[in-house]
Amino acid sequence: MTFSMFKRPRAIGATALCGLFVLGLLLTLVSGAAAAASSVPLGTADSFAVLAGAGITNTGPTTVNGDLGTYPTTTVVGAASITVTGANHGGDAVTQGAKTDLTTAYNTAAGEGPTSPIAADLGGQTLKPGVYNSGSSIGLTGSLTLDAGGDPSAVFVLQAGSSLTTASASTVNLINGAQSCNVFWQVGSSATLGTGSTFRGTILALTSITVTTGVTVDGRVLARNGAVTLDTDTITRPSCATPVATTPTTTTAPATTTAPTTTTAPTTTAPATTTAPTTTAPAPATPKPVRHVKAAAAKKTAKAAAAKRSSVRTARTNAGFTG
Amino acid sequence: MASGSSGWAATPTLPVLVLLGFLAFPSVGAADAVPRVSATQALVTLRATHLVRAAPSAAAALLPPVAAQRPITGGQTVLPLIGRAAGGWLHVRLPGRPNGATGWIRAKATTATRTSWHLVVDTTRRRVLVYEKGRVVRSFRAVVGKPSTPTPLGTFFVEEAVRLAPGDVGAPFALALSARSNVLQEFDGGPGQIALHGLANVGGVLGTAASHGCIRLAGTAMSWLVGRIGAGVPVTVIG
Repeated sequence: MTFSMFKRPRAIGATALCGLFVLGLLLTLVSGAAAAASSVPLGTADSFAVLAGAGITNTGPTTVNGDLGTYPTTTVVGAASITVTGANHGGDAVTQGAKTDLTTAYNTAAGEGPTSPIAADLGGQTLKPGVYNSGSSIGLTGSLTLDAGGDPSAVFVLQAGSSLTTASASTVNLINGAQSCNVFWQVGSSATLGTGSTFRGTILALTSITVTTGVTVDGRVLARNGAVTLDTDTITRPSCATPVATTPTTTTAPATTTAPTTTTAPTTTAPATTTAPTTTAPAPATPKPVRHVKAAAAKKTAKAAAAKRSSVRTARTNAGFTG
Repeated sequence: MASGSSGWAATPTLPVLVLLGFLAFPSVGAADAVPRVSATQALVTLRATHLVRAAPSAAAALLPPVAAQRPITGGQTVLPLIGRAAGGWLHVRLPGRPNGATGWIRAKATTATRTSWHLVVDTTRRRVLVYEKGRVVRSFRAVVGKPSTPTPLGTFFVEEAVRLAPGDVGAPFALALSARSNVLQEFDGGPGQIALHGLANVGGVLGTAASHGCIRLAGTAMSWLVGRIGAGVPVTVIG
């Protein structure tokens, strides 16, 4: 488009100004910023932190700060270990309505665009607000940073053609006003969140979602057709902080919107599951000192020491073997 | 150990084994023979979390990643290496469900090691055979899974060697396996993980099939084992 401008230097006025605007917009896109994203309306699924289509399986103490439901398969295995601070709707009418709205939300998220391509692994990247798309899978090793640029209403939509897989201890960081309530992950198949990871945003998965051990989710795990699997996790439905400017008369200023430059850490604590018997465990049978013993015994002891490379370690958490 | 070990500890009763000890596992001979296993097994220690692929290609489907540390003790993850492919791909056994799963990881951020140990759990004889360099060096009586919650059969490995507190079920030690119960999706807050562990606080009569899937051994046997068997050691469960 710049060539056309050079060819028509006398073209001024509204047409030229419009052209410059378009040019500026295109240059902005080329420079790395993605197309603007719109928030994804969740309808009645908004109140859910965990929503599944083929049942929920939980292991260990899990906290769900929000509603929970599953339909058409209504089975919840390990429900006794789930602390639900919202409502456990099971497969009731509320859940059924939420499932319908989830389908709408999923399709809305999948239809957003134009999109910017992203790498197969998002680790180490910083993304501006926008719609990002991977035709296949998305992985996350390390940390991903979502930068709202000071706009707390900025929206991030990340579309995966197939799976979403995050590595153990991976993190999604939010800076400059980015909020979990404005982050949407549309997953074309299934999502797996790695052990001990911190994830932010709402997952809208076509099939299943597996949240492995000790994951903190500041968002939602919403699976349309498959199961949701949990294991000693904390999942907190996000709520958008109201911008200060829009509530000038209120006396209860929303604290979180006044500090948009920091990472919004989840407010819940890590799952308190570990009761590490680190001090009460007996010492293993350690090899005797070689010094001052007979040669044969020393040789035997040295052999035992070499054999002892198995490096048995003290349990840091409840092992929970089948017994 | 005295209550759990037997005459199998002495190799003279196993002449066939000496001849066959360096042949590949799995293979079971006549009724009184013992399984044959490889003399050594290649291992890889993970120095970082690894993405796992279903095939040796960056375009292959992603499987759940494997962390560099194990969840119970925080010890390093060690996986049996079962193959290689061009491009620095390693074919490894994976912990957890589904039982016996394998996948492909990059060789980067791994350390190659090798073990000469191998455990075979014979659920029919209700014994654990300990191999070193392909030869049985010890045999322990054990409690194996009862019919309703059987010990899963297959090829697994030791995920972690765990020191337990005196009051813990299965104290004093456990060898947590990559195997998971095919019946119990969860148990006592855990993922239905199978382990070799002691009898403390759980009991059981050695030589019976009475457990929920785990393999229980005498405390002395476990003490002997954890002095030698560490993460990555292959464990074959046969019926």
